[in-house]
Formats: sequence, C-alpha cells, structure tokens
Amino acid sequence: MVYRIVARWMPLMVAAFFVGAAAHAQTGRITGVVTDTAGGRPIEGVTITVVGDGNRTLASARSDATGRYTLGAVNAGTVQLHARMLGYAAKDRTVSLASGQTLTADFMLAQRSIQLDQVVVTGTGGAVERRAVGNVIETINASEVMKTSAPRSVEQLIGARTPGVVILPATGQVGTGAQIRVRSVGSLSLSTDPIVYIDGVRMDANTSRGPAQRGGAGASRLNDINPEDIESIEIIKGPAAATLYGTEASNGVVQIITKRGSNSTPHWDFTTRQGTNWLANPEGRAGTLWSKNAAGQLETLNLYRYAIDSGAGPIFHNGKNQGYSANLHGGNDITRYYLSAGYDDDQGVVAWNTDKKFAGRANIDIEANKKLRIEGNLGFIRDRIRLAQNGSINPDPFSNLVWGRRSLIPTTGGFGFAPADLWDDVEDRADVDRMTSSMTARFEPATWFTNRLAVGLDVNSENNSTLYPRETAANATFYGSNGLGAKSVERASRNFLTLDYSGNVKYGLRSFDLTTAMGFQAYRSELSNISASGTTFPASPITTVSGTTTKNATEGYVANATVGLFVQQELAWQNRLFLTAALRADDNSAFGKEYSAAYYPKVSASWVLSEDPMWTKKAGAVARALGDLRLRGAFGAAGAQPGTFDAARLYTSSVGYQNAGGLVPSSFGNPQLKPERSTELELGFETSLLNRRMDVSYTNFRRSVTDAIVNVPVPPSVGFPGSQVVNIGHLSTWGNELSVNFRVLQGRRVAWDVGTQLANNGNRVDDLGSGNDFLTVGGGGLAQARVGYGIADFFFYKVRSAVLSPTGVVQSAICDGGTGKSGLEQGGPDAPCPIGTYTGTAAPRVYWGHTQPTWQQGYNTQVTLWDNLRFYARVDGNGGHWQSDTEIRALHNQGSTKAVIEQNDPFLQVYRTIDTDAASTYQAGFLKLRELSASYTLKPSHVAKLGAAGGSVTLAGRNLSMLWTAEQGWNTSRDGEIYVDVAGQHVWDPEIRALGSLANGFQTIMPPTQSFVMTFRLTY
Amino acid sequence: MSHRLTHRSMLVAFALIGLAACDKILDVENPGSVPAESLSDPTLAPALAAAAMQTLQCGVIQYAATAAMLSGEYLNANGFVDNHPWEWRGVTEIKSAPGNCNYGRGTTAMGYYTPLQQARFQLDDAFNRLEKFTDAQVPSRLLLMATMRAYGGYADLLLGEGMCEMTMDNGPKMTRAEVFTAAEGRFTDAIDRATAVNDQSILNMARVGRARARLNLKNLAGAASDANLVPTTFVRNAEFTEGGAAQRENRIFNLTIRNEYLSVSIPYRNLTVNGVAGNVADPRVKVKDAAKKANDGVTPLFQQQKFLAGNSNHPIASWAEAQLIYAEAVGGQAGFDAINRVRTANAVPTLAGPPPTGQAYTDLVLEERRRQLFSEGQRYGDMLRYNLPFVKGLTLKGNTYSDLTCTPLPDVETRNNPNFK
Repeated sequence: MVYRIVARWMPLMVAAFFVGAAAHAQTGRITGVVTDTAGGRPIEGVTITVVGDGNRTLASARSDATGRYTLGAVNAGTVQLHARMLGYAAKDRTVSLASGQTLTADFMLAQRSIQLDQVVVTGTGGAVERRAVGNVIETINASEVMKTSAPRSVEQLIGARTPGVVILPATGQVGTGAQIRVRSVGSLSLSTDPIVYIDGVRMDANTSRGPAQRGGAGASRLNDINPEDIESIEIIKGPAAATLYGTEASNGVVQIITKRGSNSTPHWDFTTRQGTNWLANPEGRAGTLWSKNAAGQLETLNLYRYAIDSGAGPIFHNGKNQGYSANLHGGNDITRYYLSAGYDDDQGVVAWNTDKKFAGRANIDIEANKKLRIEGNLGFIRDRIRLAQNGSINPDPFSNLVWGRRSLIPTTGGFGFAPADLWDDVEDRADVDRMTSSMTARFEPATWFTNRLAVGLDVNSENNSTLYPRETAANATFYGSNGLGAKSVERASRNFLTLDYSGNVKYGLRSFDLTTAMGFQAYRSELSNISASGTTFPASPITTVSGTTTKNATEGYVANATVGLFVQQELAWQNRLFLTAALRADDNSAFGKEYSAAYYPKVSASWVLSEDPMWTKKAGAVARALGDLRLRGAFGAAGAQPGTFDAARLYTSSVGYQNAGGLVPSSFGNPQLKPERSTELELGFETSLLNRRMDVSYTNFRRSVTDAIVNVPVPPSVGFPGSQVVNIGHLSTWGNELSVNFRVLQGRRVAWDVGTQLANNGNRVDDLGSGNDFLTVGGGGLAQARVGYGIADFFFYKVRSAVLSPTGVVQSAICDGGTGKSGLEQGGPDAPCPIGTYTGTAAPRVYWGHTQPTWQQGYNTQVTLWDNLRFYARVDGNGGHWQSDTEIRALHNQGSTKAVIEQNDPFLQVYRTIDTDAASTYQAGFLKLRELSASYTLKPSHVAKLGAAGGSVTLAGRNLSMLWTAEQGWNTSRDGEIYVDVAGQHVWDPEIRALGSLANGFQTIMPPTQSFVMTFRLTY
Repeated sequence: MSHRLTHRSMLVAFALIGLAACDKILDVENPGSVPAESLSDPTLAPALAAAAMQTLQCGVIQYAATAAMLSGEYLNANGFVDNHPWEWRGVTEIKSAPGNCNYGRGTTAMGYYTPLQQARFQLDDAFNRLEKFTDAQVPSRLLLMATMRAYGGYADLLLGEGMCEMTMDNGPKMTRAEVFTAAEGRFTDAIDRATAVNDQSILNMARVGRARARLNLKNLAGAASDANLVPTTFVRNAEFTEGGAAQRENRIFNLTIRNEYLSVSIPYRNLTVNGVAGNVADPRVKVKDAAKKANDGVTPLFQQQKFLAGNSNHPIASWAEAQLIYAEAVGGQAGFDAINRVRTANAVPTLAGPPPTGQAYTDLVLEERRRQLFSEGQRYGDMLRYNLPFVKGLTLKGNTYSDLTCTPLPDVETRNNPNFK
C-alpha cells in the first residue's frame, strides 16, 4: 500500500517541483514507440530530439522499457525529429504538428556497430561526430549490456567487448577488482592502467585498495560506480588518440558517461537482481596431497573431501548476490534530472567475503539561457567490503586448502596453517565513503564559439583494516605472532581535482569548415594516510590498536600535479574529409628539476570515402557492396609519468641505534628524469557489407616508446636501496584489432546477430641503454626485459635429459644450449645444465615465451524471437602467453607431491635445483563461455498489475564453462583445471593471475567464480 | 578580422594564465623525506650515524642467520620457497637474493650482501660528513667518527668472510684479501680514534675486529697482539628490542623460536662436553628438542636456546672470540690456555694438557669455535678459511646440495656495476 502511494504520488511531486512553468500556447504532443527493425523488439533509451535551426536541440525525450516516448509541449508546425541510440543507425523524421494535437511518430531502428554520426567526446577537444575523428573510439552501450548480460560491476560491463581491451581478473572474491589492459603493455616499469574519467573529470580507478590480498588484489575503486547509472563508456586506446590527455595517457583513456535526464515527464526505473556465485568443482580441483606414513607407504588426501567428511566443510559455499536500484529521470526545457540510488549486497564463496554498497547519484542539467548550460553531477558511494583472503596465508581459505597436509589433521584438520573455523576470525576490511562531483558549464556566446569548463573533485575517504582478534591460548599458535591479537588500520584520504577548459571556434574558409580548439587542464592528486598497527591484545574483547601492547604508527602524504595546454586545428571538407593537427604541452611535479616540459603533437585524418561522389562513381559495384566506408589514420604522442618523487635523491626517517632517530638513504633519484614518451601511428577503416548487415572495423597500430623509464637496480655497493629511475629504454609495440558484427537473420519475428572482436599485439625491447642486454622483471632472473625480445618474456633452462642416483641425487643433466642470433632460442645443441659438477660451458636460460597476452578473442551471438525474447551468449579469452603458478613449487617444497616423495622424476629433480619455477609454468591461453543469458521484455499487460508501464527480466550466467585452453586444448575440464608439463601438477584456472603491470606468476589466488543472476526491471 | 583578433587575444591570455598558474599548481610537498642537499646541516649528522649503526646491526644479524644456513648450523624447516635455496645452496637463487633489511617477523628470505653494503656506505657517508663538521657543531663528534670506523670495519670484515669476491662503491672487483685489508685499515683508524677519546667499548670492538681481519689475512702475530689486549668482560653486541619493527628484533630468535622456520641441524643436536657420550650437555650449544614438527610440518623441530627473546642481544665482538683468535694465532700451550679460559668462563671443564699439535690442534680450535660461537655467524667463515667440506647429497625435502661454498656476488651487482659488464 505504501509502495503504491509512493509510486503514484512521488513522480507527481517531483514533476511539480521540476517542471515549473512550461509554455502551453501553440504546442502539441508527440508520442510513439521505438522498435528494432529485426524482431520488433522495443528499444529502451533511444533519445528522440526535436531539432531547430543549426541543429540546436529544442526538446528531447528517451524511450522507456516498452520503447515508448513522449514529447510534450512541442511548438506546432513542421517538426524535425532525430532518433539516436548507441548501437543503432540514427533516423530522422519530419512531421507536421497542429496546435493541441497528439501526434504519433514511431521509429524503427536498425542495429549498427558503425555509426559515423554518433557524437563522441573523448580525446577530441570538444563534442564531434565520430566521422571527424581519425582514430578509433570504442563505445560501449552500457544500458544495452546491462539488459543483455547483467554485469555486476563496471569491469564486467567493460569486459572484453572491444578489441584491444582485456580485463585481467586477479581473484574471484566479491569486492575486488581486475586490471584493464588496453593494447597490452607498453612500459617496462610504469603502470599499464588507462586513465579513467567520469563525465569529463578524472576519477580514482585503482583496482587494489584496502588490505592486500593474495596476488596483490584489493578493493576496486572503478567498481565503486553503479553500472546502472552508466549511459555509455568510451575508450580510446593509445597515444595517437589520447594526445590531448598528455602525460599519463599513453595507456589509453576510459571515459564513463553517466545517464542524464531528458525533456519528458518523470519516469521511474526499478531494478532488482538476485543471484548466486560459486566455485566450480572445488573437490575435483583441490586434487591430491601426497605424503608418507610411518611405515613409509604413500598416502593420499583430498582435503576438500576430507573437510566435508570430518564436519569441517564444505569450506566453499554458494554466495548470494543481490542488488536493488531505482532512478527517477525527466525534465523540461530548462531543467533535466537523473536521480538514482542503488544498494548491492554481494557475498562471495566464503560467507565472510561480502560487499555491501550504497550508491547515489544526482545529475542535474540546467539551461540557464540559450547560451549557457550547466551540468552538475554528484555521485556518492558508501562501500563496505570484507575480503576473504589475507596477505598472510595463515587465515586464507585457499592457501589453507592448497597447502594442506595429512600430518596436520590432528592440529588443523589437515589445513595448511589453521583450522577452518578460525579463518573468519581474521577480518580484512576495505571501507570507503566517496563523493565524486563535477560541474560542467557549456557556454555558447555565438554559434561559432563554444566553451566548456569542467571542474571536478573525487574525494575518497578509505578506512582499511586487518584485525586478528586475540585467540585462545590453544588457538593462538595457528596465527603465529598475530595469535594473541594484532590490528592494522589505514585511514586514507585520496583527492583528485580536475580543472578542464576547452574552447572551440568554428569558421568557414571557402569550402572548408575549420574548428580551432584550445584547452587548459590541471589535475592534482593527493593521498594523505595515517596508519596504525599493534600486536597483542591483553584480552579478547579488545580490538583497537590502542589496546595492543606494542604500537606503531605511520603517516604518509603524496601529491602529484599536472598542468597542460593544448591547441588543435581541425579542417573539414564537405563533411567527409577531416584533417586534425594538435599540440599538447605538459608539466608535471614528478619531472626532474633539469627537465622543463613535455610536448605531444598529433595529426589525424578521416575520409568518409563512401560519401565521396567520385568513389561511388568510380568504384561502382565495390562501392555498392561496401556501403559505408571510412578510412582513418592518426599519429600522435602521449606520455607516462614517473613516480611522484622518483627524480629526487632522498633520505627517510628510521629508528636508529638504541632507538635514536635515524636518517637512511631511500631513493637514489634522477634530476634529469622526464616522462616516458609514446608515439603511435594508427591506421584503420570501417565499412559495412551485405546491404549494411555486416559492419567491419579494423585498426592497425604501431607504437614507439622512447625515453622508456627503466628501473635500473642500484648496485648494492652504491649503498642506496632499490632502483634508479632512468629514461634509457626504447620499446616497440604493434597490433591489429578487428571487430565484425553481422546480422545473419533479420525478420519481423526473428533476428540473429553474431559478432566477433579479435586482436593481437606484440612488443619488443629495442634498447636498454648502453651496456644493458637485459633487466630482470620477475624473481630468480626468469622474466626478463631483454633486448630483441618482448617485455617481461620468460627465460628458463630447458632440461632435455637427466640421470638420477637411486636416491634421487642428480648425477648429470643435459639442457638446451640455445641457438639463434641471440643464442637464447630453443633448439640449440646439448649443453650441461648448471647443476653439480660438470664440464664445458653450462647451458643458458633460453626463451620460453611471452608472459603477457598476445591475442584476444571474443565471440558473441544473439537471437531475438518475436518482439520480446532474446538469447545471448559470449565467449572470450586471451592467450599467447605463459604464466607460473608458484604454489606448485611450494607444494614440492613441502613434500606434498608424489614426485618429490619418490624422488624419481629426473626433470623435476633438476628443475627444483636450477629453475624452480620452470616446473610450475604453463601456457595460459584460454577461451571461456563468459556470458550466457536470456532476456524477456515484459508486455504492458504483464506489468499492469504492478502499475508499471513496462519491464524486462533477464537470467544471466557468467564464467559458466571453460571451453579451450592452450595446455589441454578442447579436452580441457569444463571447470578450467589444467596440468603443467612437469610432475603432473595442476592449476585451478589459467585465467588466474596476479595484479601488476607485468605480472607473470601467482600463488594461491582464489579463482574466478561462476555465477547466475536474475534481473527484473520495471519502468513507471 | 574580428575572429582573428579574438583568436590571438585568447591565445595570449590563455598562455599567460597557464604560465602564471603552472608554478603554483605544480608545487607538491614531501614531508616524509629529507632531500640529500639538506644533509649539509650538521644537526642531522647524529641521525645519519645512528641509522648507519642500526643498519650494521641488521647486517650482522642477517649475516649470522644466512651464514648459519649456508654452513649447515640449521636446516630449512618452513614451506617458503625463498628460504630453501640457502640450505641447498642454490647458485642461481642465491645470486638473485642479495637480501635487505625490510623484513618482517614472518619473513623467511635471507641474504646479507645488501644490508652490509648499505651499512658500509652509510657508515662511510656519516664519517665523511662528520669529518667536515666541527666538534662545536656535532656533540661527541670524535667518538661518533671512531664508532663509524669500527662498525664500518665490521661491514667490510663480514663481507670479506662470506663473499667469494667483492666490490665497493660501484667500483672494480676486489679480492677477499683486499677487503680484509680495507677492514683492517678501518679498525686501525677506529683504534686510534677510540684511544684518543678513551672509549673502551669501541676500542675493544675494533681490536677484536682487527684481530679477526688479520686472522683472515694470516697475520697471526698481529691477530694475537690485538686479541690479547681485549679484557675479560668485554662484549659488544648488536642490540635488539622486542616489539616495534622486526628489523630491531633478534632475527635468529624470530626464525628459530618465534616462527619455527629453522631447525638446528643434526651435528649441533645433543652435543656433550668433548663429544663423549654420557658426558653432560655442552652448555655452549644449548638445543631444545621441541618434540614436534616445525613450520613445514615435516622437519623435526630443534630450537637453539642461545637467543631466547626478540630482545636478545647478539655479540659482534667479545672477549671469548678474542681468546679463540688468540688460541688459533699462537697455538701451543699459550693457545691451549686461552681455550681453557673460555671453557672455564662457560662452566665447561677444562681440557687436560699437553696441547695437541698440528692438525689436531687446528681441529680442536675449530671445534671450540663451532661450539662457542654457535649461531654467531662465525662457522661459515671458518669453513671457508679452512676449506672444510660442505654438506652434499639431498636435503630432507629432496633438493640436491650444490657445490657452492662462498657467496657469489649477486646478479644485481654484477649486472649493474659498470666494472662488471
């Protein structure tokens, strides 16, 4: 009852507040339904605009879940209507509207992935149509993806839906984030993360905040954003496109554009999702732990099964996922609004891994007058995450399972470090209260002169903590020095301030249209944190740091500031040939004292060949077959900034002898330090085939990274710790990206679409400065940045044969001696492995492969039946690289593998002595059934009893099945388990990896989970 | 025309605003660090000296722990991969593990090269800065300088004992003898300066250090001369405190008792006086059978009883060591008497004469040193000085012991020091 009252009266109250005095005289009303040309499915979110002279928007409305829109109070007369929607070809209509008339104007839109007239805002110096941009800009239609595959987070929303953009998950825990990799890696030492904007201002998108989890994962600031609030996401991929963002932009730019109100009556949208996530086949994947009993006989243990049988398990459960979201949007000629609130409550595969998030948003647009428009955005997030794993392995469920032992059954139930009932005693929490606000003023004093000023502030207040409560005397031993209690707390304030101005002047010169743009950006980030920790609580109820007997506190402050100026000149001819030149100048607080500023140039060209009469005339049948055709090219530079204080030689405080204050060397510094500079040439085209039923987009890029920042380790004899950050490297990267979407069937009752996104990439270290052949990237000298090879490639000894003594001692071993120009390619002559006593030159470590994915594949298909039922599936994966699961070497070291107990595997015996990680390394390529869903658009009659105008229901599965892996091919276990080549050890899922720019190894990271989610949407 | 003017004026205004704003906007503070340029301030010199001494203490305990593994005093008894190679002396792993002082209580990683090199640099750096200041500017400046030299001598000495070859300050390769000579020079300077300021602790520390360096240089007379001057009660410790940073705790205690990561190896368990079955346990090598498996769940846990808390101090130099140096250097009855003086001080029955001669005497000295200086980072140097055999075969967990003896220079040094390319 209450619900009904609220539902019926709230919109009216809000409408009364916002609508104000609208014009009534000489107006009419336009309404209609927007549907897909294939299948007749109603389309939600289509913007219907009444346009006046100079394409100026006079009124607009958005279609609701039933495809219906209404434009009230439209001036009578001839009315020009535009219907635009991401993923569909735009459509225009002209209608005659009489005063007081209610006119019906329906639209049927055809799906298109190539939309030359779509307006884009990222990397362009102002809003322009895609046709004018010489580089590829990927756009994700968030509303559509949300309805199709029901992603639970922004990273799932981005997915790998565009070629060249890969999501690398670090853990299956709820609340944690994945790494977004755009065009693979292009730096030896700096972050490979793209920078992220929301509504034009920088936001914190770090993916590993809070207490560090296994593999470096943590709470994701990117996933703070409620995906239900997102209208679209634009991605530009490299320096050629990101020049105007200057320093920091060489890894690409992701721009999140949130939903806004439209000129319409108030509409409510309610969404709820209910689902579950689980870890597939934990018993099977837990595998066998080997040991020897007192009689010397082999024993086996499946610890997961044992825990169930002994009453300590199952240790993994189905976690419940639920979310509720509501928004109100509408507006009038003067004011438009989008207000939303959402609450998510997700639980992971252990009961104490939870993520409870409230997100609120208010986007208000005000047309102050015909020349000034103000857009205000305010987002608030309150997120409370409790993480399942801990940087320490003792309370970590996965480490306890993987490293269990039969000998521990009497003490821990067989688990590696502590009994299962103690794990959730330890609390890892990552809480944040976050306010992201921005104000954008668009001032158009004349039709030829537009200005945009954006000011934004992203303020995060984090409260991160790890608590070990005081255990009983009997249990304290399981947690070592934390057993009697320990706590660490970090209160961090992270502020990101953006000031961004750009101005555009448009003018004509003969048959050319010219646009001059200028801009100024200032960006400042500040981290201020206070951490406190202590050990040993005197009594179990006490859980504050103050209550510990030994205490420690630290304070940190790091700031970084950038200022940049740009000027851009665009020349357009006949709206089909566009040339753009730009220059960006940057200064940054991290640059060395002896370095002044960075300059980044850009030129680009776009030619809509299909609209060129000469092409249509000369190309004849080819032109007709190709339909739309655009050629594009861009060349540009961008940078990657060094660490805030990398340039300075610094000493830091320490506790000295007899607790006196001390000063120790902390940073060697480099006063000549400058940003890493990337220049990129990007060439590509977009075309359509088969009567515009197939859209094809192709891009080739080649990037050169100069002044590559290399962390050259300081020789310990120098006396300073760590590395010196030096601009000495030269790298090359390249790749191809192809996206194809094909409407196989297009009928009134049925439509079938298929699509693919394919990308490959490569990189090479060209130079590391004088005298440097290689730098070690991973532990043990295994992953290296070696001149002539890829960034962070694996180099291991390659054992060919070995002879063991009866007791397992290696008598002799033969390795691959290496061949090729470098002498490090596999296939060389026999050479002694460097083990024991040998004669001759020992074999070198030879090249095994890349450690970063070199290909990406995505395949999606969608079948629409009748006008309301849709089935969708998506397969994606990446590969071409190797990874090392170092929990395997630990298993060998703790004597839990059969081969180690029997000491009879010659290769293992050798590898364990000369290259312990080689025996746990595998090809990591995979293809996974990522998304599978069914959606049904509810008819008004279905939802009428709820008082709703429309709705939809979606059942979506995620990560449901591993289809193929590079190690086991199509015979891969559907849960993803694969086996390494030496000693038959297994990896839970090849998609697991640690978080880090050049990550190549990992240990006891909880694998990605499977999930099903049912989403129910209603529109009022 | 008006457009053009507008463009120009906007560009100029734009540039001016940008330039004026840049400097202010780019200002960032760094309140957590001190730029190197600020160290010319004499008031900061004591902080540099205190930090340098602490780094040396870290280096000493890291050396003691690492050398204990390399020499076979302890067995690996944890499941952590970064600790294992120090038991089976994995060449590639050891070359990639130079060690550091940024460890926590639970850290298993070892290595002593970087801690001792950083200590060496900091001690020299502090000494050089102190030399430029005046006594009025820095209280106790002369004592601090003597201390920097004595501690610096130990950084050189331990690096010389453990490393196969050495380098200093990004310089060329040095032989072990050259390193011992450098150590001897620093100790000599320390002795002179400590004598001048009459600080007995630094003076005797430097005497023991120089005697040890001279022993390595086979300057037996010089070693005996220094060692004989050390008074009976003398000991200079690396000082540790319980709680706070793990670097300020006794790492041997953390590794063996607190975390049960290492287990005393078989040759050091159940040692009786003179090695005679039935004799009382040798109090110099107190080892407790914990009657359980260690951290790895596989290795029987035997725990040292010499350092029983996080705040147990660790001897850097002592009268007992000086006596054993003296015994080794002079041999004969005088040396034998020195051995018995140390035994008496430890409540171990004295040995009856006459003293053995030749190899038997050397074996006696080495055995006395093995017991007296157990877990003090001395056995590794003795094994290298006398080319004693290292353990061969398979470890308890199946790794093959390598032929490595002395510690090779780490890759981070040889790959980045221009003199090694």
